[in-house]
Amino acid sequence: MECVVQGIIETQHVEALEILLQGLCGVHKQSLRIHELCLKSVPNLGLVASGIRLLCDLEQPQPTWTVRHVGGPMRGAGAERISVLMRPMVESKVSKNALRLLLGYKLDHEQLRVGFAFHFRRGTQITVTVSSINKILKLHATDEAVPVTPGIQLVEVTAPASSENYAEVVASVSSFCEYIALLGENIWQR
Amino acid sequence: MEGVVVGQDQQQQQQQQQQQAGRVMVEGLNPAVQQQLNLESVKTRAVSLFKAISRILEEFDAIARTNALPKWQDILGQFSMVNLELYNIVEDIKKVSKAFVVHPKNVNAENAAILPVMLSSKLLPEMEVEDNVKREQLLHSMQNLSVASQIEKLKVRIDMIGAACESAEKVIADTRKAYFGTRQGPTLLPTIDKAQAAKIQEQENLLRTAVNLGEGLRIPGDQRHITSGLPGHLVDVLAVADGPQSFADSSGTYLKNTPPFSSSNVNSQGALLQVSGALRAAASPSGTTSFDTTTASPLQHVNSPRSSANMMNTPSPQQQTHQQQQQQQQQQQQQQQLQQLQQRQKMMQLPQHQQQLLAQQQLRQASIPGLGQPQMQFSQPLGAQQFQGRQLASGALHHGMGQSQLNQGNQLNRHLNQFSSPMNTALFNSAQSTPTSQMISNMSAMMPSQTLLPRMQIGMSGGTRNLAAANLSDQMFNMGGNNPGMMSIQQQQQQQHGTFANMSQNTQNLQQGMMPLQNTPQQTHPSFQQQRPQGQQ
Repeated sequence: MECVVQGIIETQHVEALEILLQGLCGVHKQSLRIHELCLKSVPNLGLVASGIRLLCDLEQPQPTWTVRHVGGPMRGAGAERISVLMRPMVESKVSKNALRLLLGYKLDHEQLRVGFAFHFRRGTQITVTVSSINKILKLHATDEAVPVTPGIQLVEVTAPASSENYAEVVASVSSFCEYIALLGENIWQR
Repeated sequence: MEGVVVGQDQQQQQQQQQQQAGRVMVEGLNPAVQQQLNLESVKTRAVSLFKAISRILEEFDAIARTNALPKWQDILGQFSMVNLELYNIVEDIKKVSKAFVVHPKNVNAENAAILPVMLSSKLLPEMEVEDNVKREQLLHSMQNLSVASQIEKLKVRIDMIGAACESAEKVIADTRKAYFGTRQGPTLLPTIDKAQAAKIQEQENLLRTAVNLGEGLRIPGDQRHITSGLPGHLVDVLAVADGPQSFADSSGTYLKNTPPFSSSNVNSQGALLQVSGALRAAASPSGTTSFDTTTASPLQHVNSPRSSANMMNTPSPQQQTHQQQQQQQQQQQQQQQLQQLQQRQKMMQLPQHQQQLLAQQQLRQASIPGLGQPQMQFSQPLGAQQFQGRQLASGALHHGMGQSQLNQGNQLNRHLNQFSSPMNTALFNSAQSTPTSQMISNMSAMMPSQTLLPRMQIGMSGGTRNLAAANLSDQMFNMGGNNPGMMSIQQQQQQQHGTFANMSQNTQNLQQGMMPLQNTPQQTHPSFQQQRPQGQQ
């Protein structure tokens, strides 16, 4: 499972946020350039429709592939009380042949995510990602991607959690988000 | 008890010594203390106490030596006297000794030895060295001056450092305020007008749905062509024949451009597979019906002397007897002429692709007056001699097929007709027989549309066996409507560069008239494609 908080920030403030985050997290940023291919299962295959994402990290000299499955958000009384989003997530590194082996899945949409991320520990492992989501106009033409919303970028604070320890993870993420909210702009939302 | 007494004794002596030393120093300083404490009397009392304790110790020695029973009552009485006397002395000293005497409270055998070290104010040797070094550094420049001035200078230094720290803190605070002030200034304006906020909100929703749900990122199906070059990380992932499998939409792209088939089978890749599978499964063991979809094709083997012979000869009695067998497969061949029938009969023995080639030839030669029987028949495999005797007819026919190839194909055909699995039969034939080149050209002829070519090519990929380039290049199928895209797609296939290049030349020569015949072979191509690896093994 993972704990997720999503927010937005205007592009003009991204630089300031980066400096703030560097001070807050104590680590250097890591550049991010990920080609996400979102696959959906072919109709009539299996009981329910499912979707998985193939992430190709283009920042490395050799592109590395990851497959990720994200489930629906946690619901219920427990979910009402916490101010973050908890959802099941499974991730795994794969080889580049994963795309070919995923029979029964067809490409639903793809996007290019460009930005930076901070990975640090603050009670638990937290990752803050500030990125611009770009849509790819022609199939797989990652060089010609344009931002979906040019003026706004996405900020995501995620932390892995399990069903046992999610309470403390939630607390860490919440407190961190408050810091950012205080330091950052008032455009922040959850 | 002894230890305690001894300890007390030591303590008293220590105190006396210290007191004396202190008295030397204190004498001048604090005469009032002297009035408080009559030091002489303290000394006298301590001495008498010391004597009493030594007397008791001597008695203990005597008792111990003689092993007599000590009189405990007396001894205890003496001990209590000594104890009381010590207590009084210590009390008197305590009143005045705070300034210059350390009075350990708990002296016992354990710490009696270490007490002097602990009480000493002298540093340990290494600490002392460190201390000296630091002091040296500090006072290096000031050693010549007096102590007071040294103290002054040190004080100045301390003040300067303090001032520097304070100013640094101030600067940091100011900078922080200024930084946040400029950033937060514009946005802290309470008047973010509603329109702006609404715009931002709308943009945010757009972004969120794009990230989480993919809204606005989906490319419509008709635009899902891999037109430009693939990015580096996808080049070797997608440039494979199996690509369409994982991209049903893109496979839909392939399918979209295919001309509508008269048969209802080809609407989706899956349907293709299903149909071809059904067709194959329904084939009879004799192998004659294994080419359900292809028996109807009047295409003739390109380089087969049979084809030419068929064109020239009348159908043999053998061939005519089998005309009834394939009636159901002749749906599209109704208008075919006897020449086509003959060719088909020959083709029965050939692999499916060869049959297609023959059918193509038949179509091309539609001008030849037909025999009026639209149905093809597939006779038993003819003897090889029959083929050898035939000659390639006109230059319009493709020459390249040598007789040896034909013989090989015939033998294989005969052998393969016994196969129970029609799919394997077809593939095996296509894979093993050298007339594959002709099959390829037939297939390409039958699929003038660009999008059909990939399937065809895929099916052909297993057939790159000893294909003489000359064969293909000689093939003169006039396929007028061929798109150059065919060639490009062929070139993309990694497995058979030579073959496809030749094929492309040939396919362009194929006539358009072959089109109706292409439906059936196309249906089987995917199955070939998939079965090929099995067949080849």
